[in-house]
Amino acid sequence: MSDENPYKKLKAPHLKKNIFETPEGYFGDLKEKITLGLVTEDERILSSEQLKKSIFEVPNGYFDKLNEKIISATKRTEEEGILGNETLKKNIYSTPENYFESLNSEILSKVKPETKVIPLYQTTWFRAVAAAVVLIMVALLSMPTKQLSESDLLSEVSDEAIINYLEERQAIEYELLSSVEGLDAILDNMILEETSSYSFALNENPELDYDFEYFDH
Amino acid sequence: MDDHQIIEGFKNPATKNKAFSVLLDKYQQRIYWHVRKIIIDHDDTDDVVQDVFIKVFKNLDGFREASQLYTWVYRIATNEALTFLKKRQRKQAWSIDDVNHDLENKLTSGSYIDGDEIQIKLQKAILTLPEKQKLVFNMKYFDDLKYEEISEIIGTSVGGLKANYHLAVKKIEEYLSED
Repeated sequence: MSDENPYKKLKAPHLKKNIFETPEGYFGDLKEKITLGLVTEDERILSSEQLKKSIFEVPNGYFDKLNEKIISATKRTEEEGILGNETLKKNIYSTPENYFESLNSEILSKVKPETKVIPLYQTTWFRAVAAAVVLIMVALLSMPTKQLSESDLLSEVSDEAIINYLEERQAIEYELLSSVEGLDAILDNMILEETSSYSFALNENPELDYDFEYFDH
Repeated sequence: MDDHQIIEGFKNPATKNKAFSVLLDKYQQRIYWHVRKIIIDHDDTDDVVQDVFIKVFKNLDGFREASQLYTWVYRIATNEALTFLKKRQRKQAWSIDDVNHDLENKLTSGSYIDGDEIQIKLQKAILTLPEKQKLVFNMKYFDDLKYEEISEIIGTSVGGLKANYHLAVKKIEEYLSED
């Protein structure tokens, strides 16, 4: 029966009674014993005030000058180190003779486009476009009377592709021809817009413009 | 003509070219040497310096004197010089080591360079530095610029620049002490 119900026995009050005992007055001395035990023999000697006195000394006014010395130490690395050697500061690079004299005029010639305006009809791209227009016109005009061999060639290309091509070319030509005069204005506008937004950003927030993200690597 | 007069003169179409010419006379050499120390090669430097001043010309109208004119020009020059090196690096698909190796070659075998062994070694030591340390060192050691000025040019705090300069000096001293 007891096997079937083991907890009943554990609930009996007398089982909870502490059967261990201490010598008489043990707890009264315990605190003192622990305190004493913590202080070792050595510590009792080290706690002597005389021993705590520093035997090291510094020259008079040492700490007043320490800061100054540390600050000048960074300068000293340069002044007294190898880098203090003045010959190292010599510029070892040179330029071709009279380089700076010609540099000035070279830059001036590049920033003054008004001194050498190239007429539109003289520009390479304009000539290229003009040549292309002429060629295409000739091709368009001569197509109906072309020999069979050429239509044979063209027949290999789908009608859709040819139509697309011609339409595209015509659109480009039309746009170019109709706005030749407007082109300069458009370019000027583009340049103006670019430079004004550039200089605006530069002055409003120089950090943004010259973001030296590639300084550290 | 001081910087302010140059800027004012540039705004007036009648004196624009004169003012720009004065600006060129005043700054072209300083900017050239600054760029040259970064790019090493004379011809490359020549290209970059011209681009720098063309940029200055195009943008001077909008310059509002929030900073000094010459730190602004220095800033453009620094940026153009670094951009030039970056572009070449990309074009040649180089690593940063390749760039430095190329610059070192130009230093030892390029034209318009005349220095003794230790002077060349110093330039080589500078090439080993990270970009920011390189810039700070050049501007402080050779150009005698103030930290405040360098700060305006490369946009780093004065404290950061001092740390960078100190590191640069330390590394260079070590490099120069090696045999």
